[in-house]
Amino acid sequence: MPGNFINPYGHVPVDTTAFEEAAGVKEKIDPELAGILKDIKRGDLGVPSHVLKASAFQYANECNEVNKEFMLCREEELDPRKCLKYNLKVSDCAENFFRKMTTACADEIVAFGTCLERDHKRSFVYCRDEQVKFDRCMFEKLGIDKKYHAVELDQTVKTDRPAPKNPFKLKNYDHPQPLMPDWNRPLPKIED
Amino acid sequence: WKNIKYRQDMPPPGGYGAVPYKRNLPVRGLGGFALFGLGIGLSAIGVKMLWERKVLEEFTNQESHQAELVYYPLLQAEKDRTELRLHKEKIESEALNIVGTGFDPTYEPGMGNVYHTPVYEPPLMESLSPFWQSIRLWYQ
Repeated sequence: MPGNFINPYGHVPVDTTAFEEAAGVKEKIDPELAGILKDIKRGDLGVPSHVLKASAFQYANECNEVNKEFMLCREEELDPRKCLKYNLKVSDCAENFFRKMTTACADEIVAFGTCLERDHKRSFVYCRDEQVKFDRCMFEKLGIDKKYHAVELDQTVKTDRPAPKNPFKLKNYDHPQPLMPDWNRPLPKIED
Repeated sequence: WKNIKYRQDMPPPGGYGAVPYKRNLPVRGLGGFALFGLGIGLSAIGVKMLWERKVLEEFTNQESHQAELVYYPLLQAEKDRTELRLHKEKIESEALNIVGTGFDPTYEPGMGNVYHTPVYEPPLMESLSPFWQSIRLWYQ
């Protein structure tokens, strides 16, 4: 069955390289477009939601900066084709984190995740024992600690992109100042 | 007058005793400020219990909510890649089915939108099946 809660479009990957490598099309593809076409072929991770929620605070410690860069680019450019560089960084960070986590602490994360699934709201309150064991395992084997404020209210982002001059895309942004009169000029006296 | 030989209804010698005319309202139970104090004390204990429960509830909900928000960029990144794949296949299908078959050789794939400009359009909700439309509304 195509699709899941992580990819609700349910897109089944179809091999469309035949069109790209056809005779009349191959010459017209720029290297920039070729890079985009290669980047979007990357698949999804497919990590289930209970494992995601269980490892959220450790993931925030590792990958929050990269995620913020991507979201900033997305909000400013409004075009996902221009943010594929950061898009792949996000996926790389997540992949590395989940690979490390599943090789080091497999039993603990499985126990924690299955405990979370017993609650319809997936609340952490009923699973504190498993949470303690998982956090201790992560800290001792990988040195990854939890982040208390996983989502901050005042966020500062470090990027290599320059700051935009007109982020809200207003018209007449560079309009020059209007000519104002000289308020200190000598005014004539008014006698009634 | 001591020589009168008939009987009269007179008060007893020495007079009657004292009449208890003063008010008698004894305090029964706690009484007074102690009773108010007991009520206020029990209410304060209840308020403290409710306040602690409220703080705990806020903390657990914040914890749960933050754990879900942390993954929004990852899911959005995967969604962007999927949308771009669908966009590419849409344009390819227009090229193959309209231009390639000879239906309209002058048609430009990707220019059939309303704006007549190369604008990026994300996929429409109508292109999904009704089941996935409903799930998508609920999940977001």
